[in-house]
Amino acid sequence: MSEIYTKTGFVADTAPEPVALADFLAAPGNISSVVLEPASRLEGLAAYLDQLAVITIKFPKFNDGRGYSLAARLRLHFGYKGVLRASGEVLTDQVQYFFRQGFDELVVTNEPALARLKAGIGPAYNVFMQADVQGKENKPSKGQTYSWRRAV
Amino acid sequence: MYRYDEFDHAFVGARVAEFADQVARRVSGDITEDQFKPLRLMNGVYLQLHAYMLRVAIPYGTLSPKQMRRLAHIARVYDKGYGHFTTRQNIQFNWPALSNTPKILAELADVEMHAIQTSGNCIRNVTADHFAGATVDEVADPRPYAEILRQWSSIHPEFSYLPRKFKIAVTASDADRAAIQVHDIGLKLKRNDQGQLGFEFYVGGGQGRTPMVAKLVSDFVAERDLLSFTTAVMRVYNLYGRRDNKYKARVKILVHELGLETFKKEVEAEWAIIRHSELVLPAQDIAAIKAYFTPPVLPDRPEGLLAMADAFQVDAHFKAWVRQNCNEHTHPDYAIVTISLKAIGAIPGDASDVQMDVVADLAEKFGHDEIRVSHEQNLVLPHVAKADLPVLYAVLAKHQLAESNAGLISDIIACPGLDYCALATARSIPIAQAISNRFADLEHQRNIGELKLKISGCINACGHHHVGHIGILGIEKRGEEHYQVSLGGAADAATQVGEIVGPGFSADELPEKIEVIVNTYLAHRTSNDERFIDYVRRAGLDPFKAALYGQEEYAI
Repeated sequence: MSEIYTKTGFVADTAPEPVALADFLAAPGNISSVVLEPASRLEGLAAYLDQLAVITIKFPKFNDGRGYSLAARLRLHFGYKGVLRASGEVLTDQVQYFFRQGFDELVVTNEPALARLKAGIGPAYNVFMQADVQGKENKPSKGQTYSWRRAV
Repeated sequence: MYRYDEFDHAFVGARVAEFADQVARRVSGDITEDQFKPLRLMNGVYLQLHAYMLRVAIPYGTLSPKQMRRLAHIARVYDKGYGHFTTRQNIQFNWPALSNTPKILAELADVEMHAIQTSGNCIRNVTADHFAGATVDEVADPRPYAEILRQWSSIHPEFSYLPRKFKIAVTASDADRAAIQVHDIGLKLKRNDQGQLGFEFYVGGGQGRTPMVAKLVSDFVAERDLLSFTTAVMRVYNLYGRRDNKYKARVKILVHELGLETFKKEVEAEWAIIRHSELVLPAQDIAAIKAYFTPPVLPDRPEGLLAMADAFQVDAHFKAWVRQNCNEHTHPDYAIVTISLKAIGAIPGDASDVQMDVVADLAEKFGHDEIRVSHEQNLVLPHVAKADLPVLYAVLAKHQLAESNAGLISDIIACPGLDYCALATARSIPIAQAISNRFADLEHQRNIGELKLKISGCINACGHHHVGHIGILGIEKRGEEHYQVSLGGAADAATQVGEIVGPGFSADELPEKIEVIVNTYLAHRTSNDERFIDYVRRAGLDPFKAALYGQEEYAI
């Protein structure tokens, strides 16, 4: 059973069933939810970003990091403002990476990860050595505030 | 040198706590070994043949005496009394208990050290010229840029699950003592025509089973653009680097398969979008990091010349050591001292806890509190007054640290090999010891001159055999250890991959065959000024083949 986790906690899953990228591009209609694979190319998607409410990026293996760069490109290259979801092997130790890389919602199925998130055990870091992908985090208040440092 | 501020302490502290928690969750079964492996690797914890191994980062090879003493302490308390300095300016402890690793990390954090990203498919410890900040031949100290890259790449959310490991090296000298062209990214600090600092930006070098020399992707990346350009390279690699075959997953293969021009276009397209983003390095931040690397105030010590001349009169060993192991410093009264970890017959790169403590003491007394680790697996005291060299030498000699062999044939780079490593196919250490013993005569070594001999115990090439003037690769052949020899490799400004000379040799045959190779060179060199590598470049492999295999095999 999967649940949707956001930075502020668990939420109900209200997103429409996502459509595979190839199917979406073949007949976009008024579809508003699409799912990308790690190897997906984003070029074809550019024209439809306003139409999409949710883009899900799949992580079939947690250690295949392509999805993090796809997220960066959606946010930075295309200025995608909708919801970005990670699904697949979403585990405890990557939760903070996802949020910092521009994801809003995580589809969590891993039992230990669910238990831990439900227990309210917070993320490992509150200081970072680089800006999050959307530049939402603040400069640190303690130590040197070099351009690449952030804190929450 | 760089000092942690409050922010760094909070950051490394968070990493120690995170790792302790990860170990606890592994023990409780919350995470599987498959899930744990990348996590522990990203913190330098390997499962080796006999035990766990912990690899500790020594960023760009710079250490304080206090940090060196802590490494000695860890070797003593948590290991068997020694550590192994590596070609990536790290130190490895071979026998820690997994349950002790969080404690060791806390001990390291206490002296501003860590094991972050010393392994795993992420951006590894950034290395640099071990003579940086002291040598006469550099444009500027390259280490501040290595420090900026180290910080920025730490726990990077986008680049922690790359297709494969990723190594960055920085130099600021034409001599390139950092071997930048065999790194995934190699940076050469330079000034452009306007006098601005920036980098020649090389991508796609590497060793392993497919050795490649890095390609020049940009001949000037301004210092302000360092992080944005690096991010562009990393993003292209993360998206398009191969993940179907770990042996084809390094960025060198991507550059090779896409072709340099296509790769450059991809990088430039990415860079165009992010170059004016938050990744721009402000001048004041660069200046602030540079301030940490302000050279020590070195008082004039003109008495050094006389002191050395006097000592030369009475001690030929000292004289030989100064000639071989001391390099020119920007201050004429000072020298850069290489402390050889290659005593004849010893294990290359190993240092005992006592030796580490001795080096720490010497750095305090005579070395302005600085120690370096070189990628050639030696230690360096970058700022020693010539006047202090005689007494420094005497202490080193007492602790088997005064071998006068820097750059000579017994200054061997060797990986841990089958004695420790789970990947190895043959032993490296006994081979290094046998060759070292065979060439023990220092006068003979000096007569041979500069000769870089490098040994790897498997195709992954951790011992840099591809770029050894003489490279030795241990493989397994019908259940026996077997050693292939290549010649002509180099990792300096004229980086080149060596060429296999012919059929390999058994461990027993090898030292003698190395002697045949050396004697062939000695017999044919035009003069002592023609180094071994110069001769190989001039004459090619044929004379060596003839000497090793005889005329018939050589004709085949």
